[in-house]
Amino acid sequence: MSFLNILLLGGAATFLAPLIIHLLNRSRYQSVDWGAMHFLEAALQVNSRRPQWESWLLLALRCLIPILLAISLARPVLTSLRVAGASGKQSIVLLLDDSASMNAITGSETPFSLAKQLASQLVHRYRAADFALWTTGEAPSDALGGVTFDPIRVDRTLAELEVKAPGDATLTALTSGIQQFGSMSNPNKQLVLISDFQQSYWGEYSDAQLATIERQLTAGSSPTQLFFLRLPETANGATSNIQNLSVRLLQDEAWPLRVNETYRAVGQVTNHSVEDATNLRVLFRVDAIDLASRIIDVPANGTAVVNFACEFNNIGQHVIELELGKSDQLIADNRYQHRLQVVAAPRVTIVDDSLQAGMQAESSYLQLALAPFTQRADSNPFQIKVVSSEELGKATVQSGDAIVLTNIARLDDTTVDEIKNFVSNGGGLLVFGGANLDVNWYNTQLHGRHSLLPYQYGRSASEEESIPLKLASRRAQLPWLDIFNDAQAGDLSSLEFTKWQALLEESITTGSANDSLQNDLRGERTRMLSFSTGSPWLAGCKYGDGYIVQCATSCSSEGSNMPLRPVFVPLMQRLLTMLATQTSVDPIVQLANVDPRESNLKLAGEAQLETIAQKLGATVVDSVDRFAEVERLRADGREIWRWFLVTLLIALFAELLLGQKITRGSL
Amino acid sequence: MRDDILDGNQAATPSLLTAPDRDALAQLQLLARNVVEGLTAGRHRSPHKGASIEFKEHRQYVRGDEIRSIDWKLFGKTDRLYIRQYEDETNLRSMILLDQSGSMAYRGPNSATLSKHQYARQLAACLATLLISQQDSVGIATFDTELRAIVPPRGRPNHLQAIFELLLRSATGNETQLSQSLKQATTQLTRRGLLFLISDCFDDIDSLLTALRYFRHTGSEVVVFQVWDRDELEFPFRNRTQFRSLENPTNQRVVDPALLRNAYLARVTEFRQKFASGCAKERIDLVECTTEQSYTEVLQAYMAQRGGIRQSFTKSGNKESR
Repeated sequence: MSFLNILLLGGAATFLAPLIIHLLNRSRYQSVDWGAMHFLEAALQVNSRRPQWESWLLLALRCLIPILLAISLARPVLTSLRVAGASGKQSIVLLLDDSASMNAITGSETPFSLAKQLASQLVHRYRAADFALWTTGEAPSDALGGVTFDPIRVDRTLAELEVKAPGDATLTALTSGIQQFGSMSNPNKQLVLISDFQQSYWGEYSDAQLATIERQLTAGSSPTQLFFLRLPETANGATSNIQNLSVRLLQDEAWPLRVNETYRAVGQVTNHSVEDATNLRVLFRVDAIDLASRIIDVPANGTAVVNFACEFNNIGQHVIELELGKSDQLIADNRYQHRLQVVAAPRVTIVDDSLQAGMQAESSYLQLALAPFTQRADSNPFQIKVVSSEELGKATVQSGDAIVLTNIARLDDTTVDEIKNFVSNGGGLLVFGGANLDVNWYNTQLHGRHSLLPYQYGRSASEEESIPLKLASRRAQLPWLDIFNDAQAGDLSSLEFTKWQALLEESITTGSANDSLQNDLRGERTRMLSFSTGSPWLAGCKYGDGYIVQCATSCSSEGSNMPLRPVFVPLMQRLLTMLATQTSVDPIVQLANVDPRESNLKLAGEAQLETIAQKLGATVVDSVDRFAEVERLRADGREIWRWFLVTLLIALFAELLLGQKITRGSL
Repeated sequence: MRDDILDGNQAATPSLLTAPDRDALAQLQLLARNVVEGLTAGRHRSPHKGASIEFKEHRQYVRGDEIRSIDWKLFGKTDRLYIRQYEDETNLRSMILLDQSGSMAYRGPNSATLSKHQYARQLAACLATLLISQQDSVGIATFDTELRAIVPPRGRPNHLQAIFELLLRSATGNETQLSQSLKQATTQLTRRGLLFLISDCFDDIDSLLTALRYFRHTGSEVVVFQVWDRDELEFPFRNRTQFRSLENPTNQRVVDPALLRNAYLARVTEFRQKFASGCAKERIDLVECTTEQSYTEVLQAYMAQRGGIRQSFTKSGNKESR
């Protein structure tokens, strides 16, 4: 503890005055010749047990009063609350939440407008500081483009800022803000986050994420002080008064749609209000044309699903849009749209050498899966062309979007070169295994020399393996396999294999410079699906602009039940679609839809925010004044003269009461 | 004639009675509540019919009556012998006991100009003068631990000289043995009479009442003038004070009066209530006074009370004489 006016503390010595007076009074007394001594002695006997604490307490109070007065005037400061380095000039990085929820309509001003006002107030309050301004939207950006000392410039920038970000990336912005201090000069670093602190975000942050930020804040010789500057209570309205509805499309997979293929849009409407939404109109729009609408009811804090369907005759991109016909607090989440790519039926060239054998072709099931309609070829999802390896010339190779090798023993070098060119230019290649494969050729030539296989083929496993192999059940991460995470779309675990060729990790190095060059075109191998033993079943890799997929088994029914299972059709169709369209089709690009978490306008509770702040070592403030107060406390410590003054008043009052009590006893 | 008596004693007691005191005393009428026997005719009526100037009634002569008592004029008118009877008057034999113990020497710095002893002497002088002026017998005795000086009751006007001389010689100093002194005083008031006790009564109440009860048993009337100093009643001291006993100088107490006041006042109140209750029970007149009060006013107030009693008693006395 220190004192701002320490000289006045000397006044505390006046406590000696009442003490001296008391001692003098004790040593000096008047003498009275008294007659009624027996009354006096009787009273003394009664009073002999009476504690003298009253007089001692009165003396203590009288000594305490000048001490308290002197301490109050000396303005004591509690320095234990002072933070080292907090007394210098500030470097302040403002993090402004510009996510969609900051544009909620709750009163005369939006939360974002209030946030900008707070930022401006803070900047003008600390004119000597240097400032940086970041937005915390999905892609945090440096709004000022650097550091400035000019509050006017900050004001101008703030005036230009608008809510643009569909979502929030506060943690990323915090990291960016901390890194920003590297280009700021003042050692007193303060990171001020101005946000509505939605519960949907702040309730999700894990301890590990917060610990990472906390480490970044405390790193270095001068730690960064983080402040959570909350908006006024009325900014987002009371939690119990939220009136917001949102809509979104459930299928977001980036998957092309073929011409004339039916597109089924599944929309979900969420009611974040505490009141039911009735007669809500949901509009389905394609390429800005209203196609259909539905009237639905959505219960309070509940959801409702709405379905629409359409077909596309034209190749190209189309915009699908759902819109709610009702205005609420947050307008941005009342519309949801994404862009859809419609492609022509992919052309697949199937290379099958079993056609002349008069037996069931190796690719029969594959053909059936890709082109089930023989009469109405236009209705087939794929345009297939089945040729033998000998027929596979340059013209044939170039005429398709993808080539499938089904249990082909080997190819001549010319054909391989054509396939290499084809794939490197964006074509797809699917290689199935089988008993006819010349494994040595595949490993040395196709894999080793031409790099057209991601793995080598290993030994052929067959009947001696008594237990059929299954595929490992693992959640698929690749977009084209997404649908198989839903068992209704197809159960991959139903596939069983009794014959296969192991895909080996080891690659054969040829040592030639030409081969090294070829290897450069092959990208990183990807295990798409694996056996339950862990060995890959389906693997792929990029090659130039194209893509190669290698399968450990054949596509026929020999050695597996795969062609006979329902999942075979969608699996092959998805796989070939991926191979055939991976360069020519842009994935579905979501437009600037609002993050669903933005729609829930419920704010993080005070206790919840305090808990998070505690983990981050942050301070929660609700105004610039409070920020300044905390900052002053960190810099100077806390002035506690008011406490002493209150104690002084209490002591005076007590002295008055006690004095009166004793005086009443004497008069 | 009463004025002559007062004037004749004025020169001898210049410091004890001031002129206003004498004027006030001249108006006082002291009448005893009870009729007492006396040798000297006075204003106190006796139930015994005897020689006096105030005619009471006639009765028929019987053998043995004195011949001189026959009303010859009535005999001339009625031819029958009647005896004239007169109201008989007795004088009052009274004794004043003056406390001169050490505690009576207190004179408060805050309250009065007279000490309790000085006040008591004045009061005794007034009483004696009043009684003598009524041709009653009055004596006086001073005491502390025992009777120190005694002037027996006399009714002569020059008897005041002896009383005043004793009062002037009275000095305080010793401790109080009030009950012991009262027992000694019983030898001085063997006949029915009036006893005035002027004291602060700082003694054991039970012993004191026991001693006074003896006087009541002899038929005497007892009047106690309890003299207080206002300091003793209010204990107004605030600063730290050393209290030295007036009766025993070695007894000293240094106390904080503020802390002691309530307990002290409680003890005084208890003492006063107990003493007043005891006096009422024994039909003893208790007159409390402080040294700030005029002693003549104290006497006037007391005598006014006594006068009321005398009237009622006179009526009952007449009925008895018939």
